Amino acid sequence: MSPDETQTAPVIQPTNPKTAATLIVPVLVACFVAGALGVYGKLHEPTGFAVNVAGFSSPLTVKVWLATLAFVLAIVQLFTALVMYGKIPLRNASWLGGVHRWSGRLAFIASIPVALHCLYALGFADYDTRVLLHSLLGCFFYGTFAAKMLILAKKGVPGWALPLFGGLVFTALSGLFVTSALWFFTTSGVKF
Amino acid sequence: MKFKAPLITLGAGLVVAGVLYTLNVDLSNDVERNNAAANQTATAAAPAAPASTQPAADPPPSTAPASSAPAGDGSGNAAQQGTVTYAGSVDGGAASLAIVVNNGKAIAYVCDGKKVEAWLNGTMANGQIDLKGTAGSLTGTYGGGQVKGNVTAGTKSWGFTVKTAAPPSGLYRSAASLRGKLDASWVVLPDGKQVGVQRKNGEFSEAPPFDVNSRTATVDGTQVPIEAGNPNASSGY
Repeated sequence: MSPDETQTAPVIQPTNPKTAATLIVPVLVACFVAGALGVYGKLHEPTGFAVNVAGFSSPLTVKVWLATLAFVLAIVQLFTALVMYGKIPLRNASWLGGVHRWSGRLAFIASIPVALHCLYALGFADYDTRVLLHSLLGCFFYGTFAAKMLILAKKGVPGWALPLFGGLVFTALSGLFVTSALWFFTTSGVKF
Repeated sequence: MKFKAPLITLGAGLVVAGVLYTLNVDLSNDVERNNAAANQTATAAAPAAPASTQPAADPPPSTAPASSAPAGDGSGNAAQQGTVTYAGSVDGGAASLAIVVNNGKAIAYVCDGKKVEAWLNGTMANGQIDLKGTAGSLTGTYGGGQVKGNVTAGTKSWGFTVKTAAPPSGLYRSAASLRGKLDASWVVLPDGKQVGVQRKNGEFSEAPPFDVNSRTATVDGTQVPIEAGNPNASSGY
């Protein structure tokens, strides 16, 4: 999840010029992932329940805290990315790449049980603006995330692509947090 | 090798999602089996509750047929599935309790089958249930297919854990128009047992049994309709 995972980027490869065409496959995959999640969420009859994680008072609080964890890690992502791109001056920051990668992986893994509960137990819903926005952002998030991972693994990607997709992933996750966990904290209070 | 790491991340995510999905499907299958078993026993047990007709595949569901069925509060999109019913005995078994929830609105009836009873209503959302009534109150939490908490009826108070139950298990009350004839309420437990209290001339006593299929009770030759409790009913509870 970091620019330095694309160690190949600074290397000039005349045979493989940086071109936006390399983005076609990742963007198509993104569209496919987002679309597939949306279709599944809409077609699968919501069960109203899903496996629970022990130690919390309800499945909802589990989701709220995992989503909060993912959001906090996403802020770490934003910060480390800004440092790596030189937007925040910080010297001797060779550890940043590792922090960025692992916080990203953790955030991604933490988000999965939440998303699965949403998809399996609740489905794609549109009964109010918050819920519709959340459903759309959820599909969009995994689409852009898949695209970003694919872009990281690709050679000859234009320099603006990673910050763009990283930014989209961060924006989507922030939106998801605001429309779910933050909403829960403000309407139901902070609960475990 | 290094640039493959993002692909491994994606793959790991897929594996985690796959494992969770499998667990969920397993859970759904369990719930379906339990619900089917509960329905089967309930219909078989409706007139006289013979214990021998319980399906052999499952352990006798007399205590909790739909036990592992974690269900919600009928909120959110899940509301499209309709109402969720919880029923069972309070801790110690001195009283029976049923809770019916639809889209965050809940009603409950608790009684000891002799003289203590309370009708309660309120909200059930975001993991919390909070119900009140003229004769008592109920507070607790829910999740994973059960509601847990404390219920008060009159001077009595009990802790409880009740699980989701399939129809006809639930709560019932004699129709408002004929309460002059019969003013009674019942909890129908998951095993089909009816526990009810009736009010007659200001005195509480054990309610007579009613026919859960035709939803009528016969009092002095008069057929009194019995209504299933519904949180969206405007009044009557």
